[in-house]
Amino acid sequence: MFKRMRLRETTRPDNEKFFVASQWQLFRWKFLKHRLAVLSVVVLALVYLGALFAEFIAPYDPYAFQPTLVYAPPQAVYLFDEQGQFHWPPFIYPLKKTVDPVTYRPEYTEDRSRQLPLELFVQGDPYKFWGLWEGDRHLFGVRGGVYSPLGKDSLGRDLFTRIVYGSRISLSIGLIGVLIGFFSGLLIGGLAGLLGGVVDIVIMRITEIFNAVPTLPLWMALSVALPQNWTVEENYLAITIILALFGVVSGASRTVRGKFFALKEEDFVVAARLDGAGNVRLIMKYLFPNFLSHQIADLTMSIPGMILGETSLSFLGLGLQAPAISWGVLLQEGRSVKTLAENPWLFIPAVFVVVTIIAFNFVGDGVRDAADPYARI
Amino acid sequence: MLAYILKRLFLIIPVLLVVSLLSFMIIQLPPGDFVDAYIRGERGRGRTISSEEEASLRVRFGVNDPFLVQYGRWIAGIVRGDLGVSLALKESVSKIVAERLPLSALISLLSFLLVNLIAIPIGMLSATRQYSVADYFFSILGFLGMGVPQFIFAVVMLWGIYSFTGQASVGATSPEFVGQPMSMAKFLDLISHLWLPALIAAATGTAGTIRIMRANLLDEMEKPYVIVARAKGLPRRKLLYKYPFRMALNPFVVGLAGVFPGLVSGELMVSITLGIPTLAPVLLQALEMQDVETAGSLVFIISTLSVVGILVSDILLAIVDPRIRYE
Amino acid sequence: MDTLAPLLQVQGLKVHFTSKEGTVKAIDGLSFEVYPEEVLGIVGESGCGKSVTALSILNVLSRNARIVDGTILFRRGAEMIDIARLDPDGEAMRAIQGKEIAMIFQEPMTAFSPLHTIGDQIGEMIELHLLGTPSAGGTPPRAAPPPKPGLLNRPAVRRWVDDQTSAILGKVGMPNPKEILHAYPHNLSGGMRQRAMIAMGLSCNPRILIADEPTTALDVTLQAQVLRLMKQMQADYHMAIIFITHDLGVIAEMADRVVVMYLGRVAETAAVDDLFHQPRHPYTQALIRSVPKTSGPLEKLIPIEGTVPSPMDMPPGCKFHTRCPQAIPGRCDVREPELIPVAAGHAVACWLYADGGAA
Repeated sequence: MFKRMRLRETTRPDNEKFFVASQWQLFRWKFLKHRLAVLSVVVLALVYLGALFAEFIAPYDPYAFQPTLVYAPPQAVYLFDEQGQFHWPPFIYPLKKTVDPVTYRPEYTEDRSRQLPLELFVQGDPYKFWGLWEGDRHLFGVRGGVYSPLGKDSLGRDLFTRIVYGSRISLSIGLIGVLIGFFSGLLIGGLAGLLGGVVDIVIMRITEIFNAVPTLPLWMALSVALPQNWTVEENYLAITIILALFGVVSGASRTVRGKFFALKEEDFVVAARLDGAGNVRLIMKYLFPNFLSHQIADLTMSIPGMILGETSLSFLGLGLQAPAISWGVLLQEGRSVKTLAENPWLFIPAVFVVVTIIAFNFVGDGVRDAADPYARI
Repeated sequence: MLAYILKRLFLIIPVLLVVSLLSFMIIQLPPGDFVDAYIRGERGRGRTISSEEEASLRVRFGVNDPFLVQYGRWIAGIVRGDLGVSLALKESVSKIVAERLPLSALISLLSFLLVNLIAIPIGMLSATRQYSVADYFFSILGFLGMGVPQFIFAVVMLWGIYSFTGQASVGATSPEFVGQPMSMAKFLDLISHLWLPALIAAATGTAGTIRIMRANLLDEMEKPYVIVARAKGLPRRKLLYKYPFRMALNPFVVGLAGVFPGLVSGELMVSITLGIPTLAPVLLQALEMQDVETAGSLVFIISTLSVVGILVSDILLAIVDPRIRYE
Repeated sequence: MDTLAPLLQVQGLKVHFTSKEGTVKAIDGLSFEVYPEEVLGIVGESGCGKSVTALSILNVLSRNARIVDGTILFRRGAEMIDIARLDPDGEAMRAIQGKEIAMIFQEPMTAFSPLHTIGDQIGEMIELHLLGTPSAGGTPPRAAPPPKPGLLNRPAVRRWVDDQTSAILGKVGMPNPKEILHAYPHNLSGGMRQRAMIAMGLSCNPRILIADEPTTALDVTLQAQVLRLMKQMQADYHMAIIFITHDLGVIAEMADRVVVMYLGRVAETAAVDDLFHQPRHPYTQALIRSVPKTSGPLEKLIPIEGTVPSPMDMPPGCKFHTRCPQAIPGRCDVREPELIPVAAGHAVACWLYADGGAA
């Protein structure tokens, strides 16, 4: 009863704004109320920007290795020198390497005799931005030395650089996969919903079966079945399709179909049909906008699963392989617990994975809440 | 009830059929067949195989037969419990499965129990004390649980264990029990080793389930029948357990069926990371060595484990909810 | 009837709902009385606070609702209990719920739990309130005295409760009450479910039975059956009924006295005949005009002008003035009228009747 009261329209002019607000405006207002979701959007925007401008933001070439700096730890940034003197811009101390005489492990100490100021738009490794434009300026860096904000890996490659480059694959796999899932889900679920009958039963039974099968072993087996001589790009595409096909499609089809059936019975759709609206018009005008928001929320929620799938597969060494850089590939270095315990920064890519997944979960939550016009207050 | 169980059992057949077809497709997918692989292996050992010999091998292994015939032969083998010999592992696959499947099943079952034991009370607490400190605490924990991939969780755990004990894997039993026949002591030892991987495998599912449970219960507590029950003058605690909680349990149990495949996937990652001798490391090994034959069989068996898990939760649901049985 | 002391006295009741968008004053200064063995009809449009009134009397409001002011005095023997002051979940309140005041809900499908049998849901109430109180019988007398409660006596208790439950189910005209005990709500038809609901309400011989739109969810023939049943039950059990509905026809058939509610307040209260023959409040008049007559010459139906104002921003003054054809500018839109007695047992909250009318 309370709900009915709340939704009743008023004719008072000062309230009019609320009632003429478009669906999109309502959505935005409600979404902005979900603070964690908004914060997550900002976080995601940052990592996606990083992926977009990887060449510029990363200080080095992702494949450039420095044998002298194998397993170098992350370097601290200083504002004050040892005498307590303030410096601007901030500076770093270059690393000095010694080798442990017993274990032969390299050990690094800061060379306090030299200060390398941290600079913006530094000239560094040359790159081809998006494979189109050549350049050699990087967002930040030092001259006359090496600065690795997150340390170096087993070949002395800059970890931060590799994380930024890796985000290209790790983050896009979620988006592309979800798009594949979205359109195939729309097609399959739409077919089932529209045709009904036997088609519906068969499609639904099959999607049900796919839901009952654990995805990981299938992913594992299928990614191994990919031809060995494929390029990084082909592999990437194939893995994306595998992840989408056996992760998103069945769920998406089910929700589309479910919405279709639920909406078919809705009074406003029946009314539109009785008014003589044709099938296509009915779908475009009434059904589509109605389940689109739900679909988007669902898909936002399934992006983390895709990212996780790629990361898990690559971590096991079954997904993308070495020349390719993804967060999962980077985590492979941490598969040996001994290496990890000695060089804990190798685990930093995991932090990026976790933050991204949590951010996507929050955004999905916010979208779902905002998309539901009858959400509980 | 019996009729319902039989019906569910009957419905499982098409599921297993599709799963087995998928698994068999995995075997058939890579270019080349078993004989190619065999010949490659023999060549590696310096033996050349004539084309006649190759042809006779093809006939003997039936690799030229139509897809369905080969599939039939493969399925018949599985039904007889004959999974062939793994080229990569140099061992009978049936023997590997017999040794390791119980452990896989045990971990999945343990994590299933953990999901329930943890998620139900916490979900109830969160719903009945909405917006309390505990509610916020568990909500944040839930989001973390959903955000942290199981293998990352496992690596962190292993890292901790390694820093404290110097052990680089968890294993399934203490050294003194290895190779021993099953006994109460060994079983307890097994559980004491397996609760950690089970907990990790359960983490994601638990987090999701707490959210479902909380949302369901909050929904149910506003339903008319709860107001009716309050209007009867029932003591509130009894009311909560008897009505909204029972109802909230329902979609919850339905949701549990969906949890199971996730648990099996989780068990895979966790067992591989922690080095627990379940089917998971063998599957990985077979895949790494391109032994698709073995991998296909293992995928089939692991998937079946999940399907059986779903069956069990479906039957549980029917016991809890009388409406299901009448459908 | 006026000579009797009231069984229930609602005075100046205010119930507010809080939501993110603001506070809704669902009940805003409501007063009325219920006398023993009468049928009080409460009538009004949907959203006027009828159901909230019922929930307030039973103290089972939802969590976002609060009784902010007023009293709900319930007379038990010599003492008057203020329900509005009782802890909604406390023992004192629970002793009244179901036992002294029971309620029949609008939608029997959702009012019963789908997971428990009818016998269980009615029986638990009987067990809760009647067990261990041998004299609780009253009218009509119980067939057998209740057994001693206790774990050891469990089977006997079960049997007794089942007997009581099937007896009451038989009383409301259930064809085979013994079987209905074990039925689930989805096994019953709509009419049967409502009968079961009524049986549940009656099961502990309450002194007040609140019926919130008990026939709205039923089709017309069933409506008549259920109304007849309720009348008969009232005669048998000698209880007071608060009958809540938006249907004036049902009111005319059932009620002795009527309270007309508009936006959380009483607009008019009168004996049923007075109300229909001499409606005073413009709202009551409009309400009666808007109902089609089943007999007599065909008349043009006149709907009430305008829409109910948003609960978020109520108009000042009389809440009906925005729709009232006789509103007096400068008076009706400034101050809210109090209930003014216009005849014996007839009061109306309208400035038209304040000392000499439109002065």
